[in-house]
Amino acid sequence: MEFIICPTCNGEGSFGGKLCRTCNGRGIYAWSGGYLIFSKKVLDKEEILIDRIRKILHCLGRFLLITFGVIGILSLLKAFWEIQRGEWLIFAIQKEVLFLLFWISIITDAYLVYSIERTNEEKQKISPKTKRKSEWLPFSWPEISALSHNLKIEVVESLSSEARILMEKAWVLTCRLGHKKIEPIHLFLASLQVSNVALVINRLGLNWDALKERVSSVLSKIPVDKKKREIHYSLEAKKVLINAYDLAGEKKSKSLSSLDILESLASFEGPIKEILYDLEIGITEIKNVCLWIKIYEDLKHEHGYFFSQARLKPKGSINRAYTATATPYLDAYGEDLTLLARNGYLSVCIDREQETQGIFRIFESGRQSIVLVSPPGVGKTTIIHGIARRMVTEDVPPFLQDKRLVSISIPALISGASQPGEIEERIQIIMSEIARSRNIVLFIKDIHNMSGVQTTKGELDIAEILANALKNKLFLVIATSTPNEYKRLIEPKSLGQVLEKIEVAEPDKNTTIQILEANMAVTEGRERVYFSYGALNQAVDLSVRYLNERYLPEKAINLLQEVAIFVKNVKGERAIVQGEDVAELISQKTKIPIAKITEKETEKLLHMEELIHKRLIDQNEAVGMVATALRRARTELRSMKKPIVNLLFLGPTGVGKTELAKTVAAVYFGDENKMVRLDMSEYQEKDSINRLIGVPGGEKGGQLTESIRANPSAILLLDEIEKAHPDILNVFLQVMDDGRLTDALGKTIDFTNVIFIGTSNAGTDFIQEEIRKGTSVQTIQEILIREKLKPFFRPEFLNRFDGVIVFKPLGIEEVRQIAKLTLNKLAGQLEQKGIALKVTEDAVNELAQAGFDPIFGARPLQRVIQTKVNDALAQFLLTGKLGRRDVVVLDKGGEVRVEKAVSI
Amino acid sequence: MPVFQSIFLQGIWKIIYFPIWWYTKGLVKRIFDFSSGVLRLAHDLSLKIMVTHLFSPMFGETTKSGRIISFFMRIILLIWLLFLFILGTIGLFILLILWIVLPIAAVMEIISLLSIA
Repeated sequence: MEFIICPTCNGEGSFGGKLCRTCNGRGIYAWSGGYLIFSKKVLDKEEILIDRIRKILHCLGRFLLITFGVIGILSLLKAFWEIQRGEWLIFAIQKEVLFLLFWISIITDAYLVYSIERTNEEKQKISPKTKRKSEWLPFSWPEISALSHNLKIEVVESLSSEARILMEKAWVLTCRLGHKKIEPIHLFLASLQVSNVALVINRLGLNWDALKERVSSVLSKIPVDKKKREIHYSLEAKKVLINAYDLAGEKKSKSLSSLDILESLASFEGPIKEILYDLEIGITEIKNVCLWIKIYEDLKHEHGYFFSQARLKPKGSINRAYTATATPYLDAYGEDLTLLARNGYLSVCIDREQETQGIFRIFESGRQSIVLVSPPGVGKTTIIHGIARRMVTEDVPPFLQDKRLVSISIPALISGASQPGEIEERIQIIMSEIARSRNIVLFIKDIHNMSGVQTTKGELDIAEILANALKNKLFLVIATSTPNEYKRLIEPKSLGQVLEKIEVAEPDKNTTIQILEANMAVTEGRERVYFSYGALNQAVDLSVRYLNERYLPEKAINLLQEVAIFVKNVKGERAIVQGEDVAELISQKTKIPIAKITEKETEKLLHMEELIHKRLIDQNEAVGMVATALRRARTELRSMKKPIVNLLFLGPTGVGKTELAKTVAAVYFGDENKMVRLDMSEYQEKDSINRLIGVPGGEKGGQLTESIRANPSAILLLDEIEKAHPDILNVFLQVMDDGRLTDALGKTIDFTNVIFIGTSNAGTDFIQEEIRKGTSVQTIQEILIREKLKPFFRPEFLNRFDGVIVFKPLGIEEVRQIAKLTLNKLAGQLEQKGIALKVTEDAVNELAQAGFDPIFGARPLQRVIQTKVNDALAQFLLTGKLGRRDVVVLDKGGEVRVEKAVSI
Repeated sequence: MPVFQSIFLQGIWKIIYFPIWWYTKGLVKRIFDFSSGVLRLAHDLSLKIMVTHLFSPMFGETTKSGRIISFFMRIILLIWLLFLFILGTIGLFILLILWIVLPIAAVMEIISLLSIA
């Protein structure tokens, strides 16, 4: 918005301590709707007093007028009663008084009507003016000064009663704090005391104490001036008010409301924006919550209008023109949606005007049958319910007026039909009833279910019977189907030729939020909890991210309904559902850590390397890379359209590649088994792709896709990846790039929460040779990628990895440490049996020497420990030489001896 | 004091403006209410639908006798609906007349009753 500022006072309204003569104290103007808007009038003590007295007089006046009206009616009744009894001749004077009271009451009643209507007219008068069209809108001060007074509008004159209270409170606050000017922060603090703004703050889920603390801090920085002076608006406050007027005008509001002021306050740069930003609230959130309140008000109005119109809709099958016939068969197998809508059983349809108009347009163009196609949960049925509601209020094109929308149930139609020809007969009768009645629009939900249903004689598909009836264009039909089923069962058949397809798109985020805002009132009422805006926002974001197999808005609605029950059970009734509650429930459902990071988890993430090293010796580079990837993932600083990280582990066997994957699963996902492990040597043939992603046309998904579907948050470990067929590696290209994979059944599987690890022995000889030569790991890595891996992997495949990590062959020192770790693990197992294990340093060294093999890594060590230690211990345990509280000592020369415990 | 003065003057103006409003803006509003009331009545009684379907057979009776019976039934129905419509319109018109007449009648009655006293 462009402001025109007084050149003399720079918008302050006063100059040299006196009223600015150039602008007459107005300071700034701005064009809005063809008018010049300014803000000068302060609702001070005098105005507050006038307002209060006026309110009292208004209430008192109304009370007296109503009372006098009642007295007038009573007087009339009394007069007639006495006339009837013939007493009035005796009490003639009393009769005249009664009639006088009655006639006066007529005047006062008329005055009451006048007063009410004038109040409404005044409300209309304050509605922000926006309709003046002018091509010449000057922006220089001399030019606008010369413009007529009729073009200049004072903001305060357009305030709603609540906004007026807000402004009065702002003045009181400024006076009380001893400030010179009403600043935006005063307006903001005052706004928190009015009910609609308080509702917005609650819906935003803001902490009142935190908010007030920040506001107080800003207020304390304003200099205090104890001298009594007249209070004016600051330049910023004027801008806020003028902008609020413009917002109200844009919305075509009846008056400038407290919510317009709040919206305006949040949109200007300054302390208020900072405070809200600090509390994770932006202008979009404020706008959407204000819209939420407006949606509720609109729904209330719509509800009133709907029921006033619904009374005219006939309750039965006969229309208002009496042209319809009775349809007993249809009534038995179908459901009258217009009747359900009339009785208030169908929900309101939000933001589907485009699709609804599309349906009307197709019918108007002469086509008689429509199929709405979209995945389940997008809102096809809601669109139909919306049309049923419009047919009740007759807000439909003429060809749909005075008609019924009847839904037919296919299961009801075919159930119990045992006699030959029974299904055909039912369908034929229903079709002829609809054609004869001529006031029915038929709705068939999931029309693809008709395909493949054989008649009782078995020679005809019932979809074919319907298609023949539709070709005759005797009645209107709206059907629904899903994209896959439409493509498979409708499009290639005769039904596909008669049905005009309308695709219903999944709503975008903002539209979904508005749909949720309109739908959640019922859930709030039922569960007695309140949704914050954050909860709605999170429900949309997280359901999009983690509930991939379902669609908006249904998945978000279902999620919020579940969260409402979850919160009611945990926090009790009247609790506020916050965004974190939604995240927690999603976390529980999907087993993916998405709730806010706790202090314990922070600790774990920061010390990830140390935790991994408790189980894995050396390989610092690999450990570091995995740990940083996990930290990036948890703080959401990664691409959400790819796996958490794609890593390729290279190195000889037994150096810890698989062990690192297992350790990460245990440390990060909390369970060593949260790992999907595929041995790629089993996928050397091209056909094995079917085992991976499922057989086309089959009923089950593949090994990979089903495992990730069951465990969306896990490690995907592909052992010996170089052995897989190149076509199979191509499948993984998509996984690594897009984080999703479509299986043979057409289901899209989400891979964005997996850690993708491929292990390979390719180039092992080279690695060992170079390590022996003392070449740095960095150089080995570069040569591997550039040359040595080329025969195994295509460059685009290698490019998809975030890191190609070379695992060094193990030296004797590393093997010694691994021996220690393995023995520690064994000690843990013995401890559970009440036995202690002591291992001398010499014994560890001996075992490490025996188990060291530069080619096979740590694997021989495991075998040595198994034969030299585990076998001996097993022998002791079985012969009973080892019992609880005994100590096993592993000493030099492979000696294993038992130190018996002192008997009790 | 200027506060009370302002409220008092506003009150006085409101009372003076009452009869002016009643026979100008108020009357225009009532005339509009009357015309929209009549249209609504016609809509609620389905008059337009009945007239446009005057020759359509009722309840899908497309036989010759069915058509003849339908036509006469519709005529009877239409007469009944027109009667209700006229009744409603008269009611609405009386309300409009009362708006014009009642305040004048009330003032005249009050004057005459006071003069008797």
